[in-house]
Amino acid sequence: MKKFEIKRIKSLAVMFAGFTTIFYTYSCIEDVPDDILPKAEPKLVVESFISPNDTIRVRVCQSLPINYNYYLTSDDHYNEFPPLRDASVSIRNTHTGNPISIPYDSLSGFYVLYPSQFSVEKGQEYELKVNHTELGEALARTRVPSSTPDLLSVKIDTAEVHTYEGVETDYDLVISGIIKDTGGEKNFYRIIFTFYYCYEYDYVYCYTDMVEKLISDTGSDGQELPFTLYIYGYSWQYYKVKILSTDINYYHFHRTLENWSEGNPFVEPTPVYSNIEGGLGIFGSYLEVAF
Amino acid sequence: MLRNYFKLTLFLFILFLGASFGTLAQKYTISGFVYEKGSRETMLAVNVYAAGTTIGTVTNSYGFYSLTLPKGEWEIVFSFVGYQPRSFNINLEKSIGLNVELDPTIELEGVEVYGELSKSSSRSAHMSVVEIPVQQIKTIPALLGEKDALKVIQLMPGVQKGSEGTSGFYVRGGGPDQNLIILDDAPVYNAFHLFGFFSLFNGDAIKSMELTKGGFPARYGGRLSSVLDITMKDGNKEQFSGEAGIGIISSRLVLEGPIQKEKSSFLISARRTYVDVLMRPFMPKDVKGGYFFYDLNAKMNWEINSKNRIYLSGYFGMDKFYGGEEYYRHSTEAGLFWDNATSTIRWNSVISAKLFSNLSLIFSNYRLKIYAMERYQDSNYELSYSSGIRDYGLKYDFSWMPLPSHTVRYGLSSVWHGFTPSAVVLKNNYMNEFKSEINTINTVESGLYVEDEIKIFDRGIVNIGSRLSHHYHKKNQQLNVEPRISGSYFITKDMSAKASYVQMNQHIHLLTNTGIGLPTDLWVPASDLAPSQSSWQGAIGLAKDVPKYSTTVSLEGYYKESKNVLSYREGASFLMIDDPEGANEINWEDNVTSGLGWSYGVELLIHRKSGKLSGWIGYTLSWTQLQFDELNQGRKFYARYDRRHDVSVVGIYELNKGITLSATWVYGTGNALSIPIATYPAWQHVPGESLFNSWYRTVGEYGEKNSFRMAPYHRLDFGIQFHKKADKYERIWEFSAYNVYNRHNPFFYFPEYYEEWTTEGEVISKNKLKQVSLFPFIPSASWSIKF
Repeated sequence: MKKFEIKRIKSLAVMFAGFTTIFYTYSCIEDVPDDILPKAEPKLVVESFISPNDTIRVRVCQSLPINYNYYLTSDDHYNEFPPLRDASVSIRNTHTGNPISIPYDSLSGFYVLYPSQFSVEKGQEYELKVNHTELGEALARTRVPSSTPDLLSVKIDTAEVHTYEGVETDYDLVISGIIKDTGGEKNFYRIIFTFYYCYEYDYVYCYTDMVEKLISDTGSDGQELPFTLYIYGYSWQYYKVKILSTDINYYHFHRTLENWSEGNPFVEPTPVYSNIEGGLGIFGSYLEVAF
Repeated sequence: MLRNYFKLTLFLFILFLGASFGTLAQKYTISGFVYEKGSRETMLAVNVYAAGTTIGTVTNSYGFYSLTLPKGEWEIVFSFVGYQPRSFNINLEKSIGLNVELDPTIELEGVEVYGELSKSSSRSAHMSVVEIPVQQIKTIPALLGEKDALKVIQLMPGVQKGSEGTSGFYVRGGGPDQNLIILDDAPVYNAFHLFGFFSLFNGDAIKSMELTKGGFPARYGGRLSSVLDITMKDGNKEQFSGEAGIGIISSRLVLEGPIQKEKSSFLISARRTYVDVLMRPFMPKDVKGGYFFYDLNAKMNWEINSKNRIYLSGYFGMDKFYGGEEYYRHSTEAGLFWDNATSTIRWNSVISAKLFSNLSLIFSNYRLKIYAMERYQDSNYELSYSSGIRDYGLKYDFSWMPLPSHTVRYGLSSVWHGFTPSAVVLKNNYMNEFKSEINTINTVESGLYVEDEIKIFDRGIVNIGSRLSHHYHKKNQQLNVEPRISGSYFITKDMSAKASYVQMNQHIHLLTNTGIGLPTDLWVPASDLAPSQSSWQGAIGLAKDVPKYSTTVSLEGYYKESKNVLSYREGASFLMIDDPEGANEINWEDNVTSGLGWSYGVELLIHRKSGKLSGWIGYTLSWTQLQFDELNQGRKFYARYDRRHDVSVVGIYELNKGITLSATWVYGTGNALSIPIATYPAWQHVPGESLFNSWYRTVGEYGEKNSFRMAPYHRLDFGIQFHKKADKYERIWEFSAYNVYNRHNPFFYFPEYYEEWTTEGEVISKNKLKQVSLFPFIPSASWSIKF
């Protein structure tokens, strides 16, 4: 199935609904006077997804309230949300451990902690704490999933070969499979198909793209969960299928991010899920099975 | 409980009827129809009364009246605003039939049309009813010159518009789904063209329009907030006539005339936009696209004999966007269209001088379709998405007028609804055909009602009734009893105090997360997870007629509570066409949540319907709040269209016989919105990849739901009409200006990021909130001719 073509239809509908022509013909855009603007203070924005045997990376920046003057350094010029380098970030296992400080890595712009320095375990709960002298404290918890699903089957079919004047150009893929949910617990999954294309022209250039599906076992606890992914116009060199077992925060964050209305003014706004107390963003966890 | 309620109702009817029948001796009935002279169009709401008394009645929707009086000499007067009243001296010794024609050609200033008894506001049992003369709709200035009945309705107190320029309306805090719009008894499910900028009702084919906001008589049911009852013209039975008009975006034509003189007639009205036709020469050859809408109204009526008539009426209208292009190896075509079709067959029967019946067979269909076709290299690909609702209904109504002091109405209605919320068809070479259809959901909605309008000793009038509402869905049945009562106490000859109490139930929901009347809004039935909405409303008020100035003044206060009001859950999307196969998995019930609603306020209306200077002043002070367990952390919040103050001033002035001036000024408190108070980045997680490769979206942080107020809305429109009458035709030139003082009314807001350099060389990162205004000063011109 041609997912992006279907999206094209959606964008057509949005285009029609957006009254584009009328706007450009008649509309007038101007600043809203300060006196009716809502008042808000900047907040810590924290984002991190942790997994056993993986490096912990934490992004920390600040939100940008309407009509707020955020003075940037020359390094951060043209960066709408530059990293906060002077925060104090720590993580701890809520059951067993004391907080371990996570240092800032100026190269990547993240706060980074390697597996050799801190071990993330299945089924354990972790607390992430961020302190900043001006923006206060942000706190979040996640419990790492304890099990991964069994992959009962996966099949990659060529749905259609595209030709032009009899010569093959690219093709559509249908990836279908079934996973077996672990019974007796609430589980969330994210299935990702990543594909790569590299070519050499003075240098080697590589591109990646991905399609994905979020699944929850609501109403199907312990049962087989089928999934299907579609890729249209595949001409990539290789691909990878990953199945993630995620915690509820990870799942809700990606679900609401998927539904984010891109600022469509005619749609009731749907806030992106956040589990950061005292701030915004997400702290989630996952287990990964790659094929 | 139910049984006791019916016992009480029955007891009251018997009590009132019994008391009245005690004085039945030696009474006879005058009955018949009232017509407009020159067209023989039946006239509704004409006052029929015995001069020098307070005994009288009004004609019903089909122009029929029945007046029972004691034996003796009577002067019977027929009067209607803007028409020459007529009186007949009758020696009443037996029941007689009397059909009357009223002459519209003689316009009298401040005539005694309000007489001693008339369908004046103060003498009516009903309250919260708005009637707008069709002639006023045609005179009020409109956006791009397109006369629009629904936009005139928005100018009435208690009725709020949605977004700038759109025709959607909100009545006493209710949502757009809570308005029942009926055209000749047939419900209209999407009454809008061009995403709500224009309505289906252009005024040319309309005979009358009445909006009920509260105090609903028992004959109406199925919606919580309002009933907009629109009746199409029957067609001229005397002579062939017509009207044609040319405007900036559309042209229209109305033709009507007798099929068999004075026995049967037809009316056909059509309108079409021509932007697509005008744009075509300017588009590239390999690109085609455009937009149009059209309306077609048709009606036929046949007077079989003096007691039986048949009416056939229908509406068909469509909006279509289409586009396509051809480029290297590709050709694409895509579009979006939606259409409404309604038709009604009605049989009027005068069973006796005191009993009138109407049987209606009703059909209504609304359909939305989005389609795309693509040829890519040697492949073909097609996708279509459709949704809709189809109704087949039957309605049988009786009016029984045993005495001048009683008008009893009773009847039943039953409608089969067929909902198709989502159907997807996909075809390509490999898959051949994929279909994902949610089976048509069938429900049956029925109502049984009785109401009696009782005049109480010249001191008051009361309409008491009850409606039994029944809903059948998936073998589940729901039965509700809806008591209705409204009445007036006559304080003076021209002034009354009014009160009403009603209960309403609604078994159908509109899934919309925009509120601007997009065609993608879906109608769905009430179910276990999204139960029927219900409400009760109480209102009190004062009504005063000033006959000398043909003016009515009304002041009303209301309070309404609603249950099971529907809203989308935060994060829910409503049209899953990006994943059509997933349509099977979609359950719209999972995306919605039910809550409570409260609305209360005060409305003032000063309305002059005729005279050299006519128009109205309306003011509304209101509050509307909602509460959902799953929204705003369970706290109450103001509805998007909560509007503290709403003012409208409409003036129409006939300068002389050739020139009519008109102006409209509106003011409204800004809508309550949720806007981002800040923005922040949200990165999608890409496991195993360099985090540098992952992308982020700038998302919004929202405060308390709907805590931001848009800037107040106000606007002045002005119009001037030049009439030229000749023997066989009348020509009208109209020039109008929308938003005369070019007010930048907000349409929506969005945040915009930018960087600012200070004089010290510092860089400031900043978010500004931008306001988009849609319609500046817009002049327009139109030309029309009547023949």
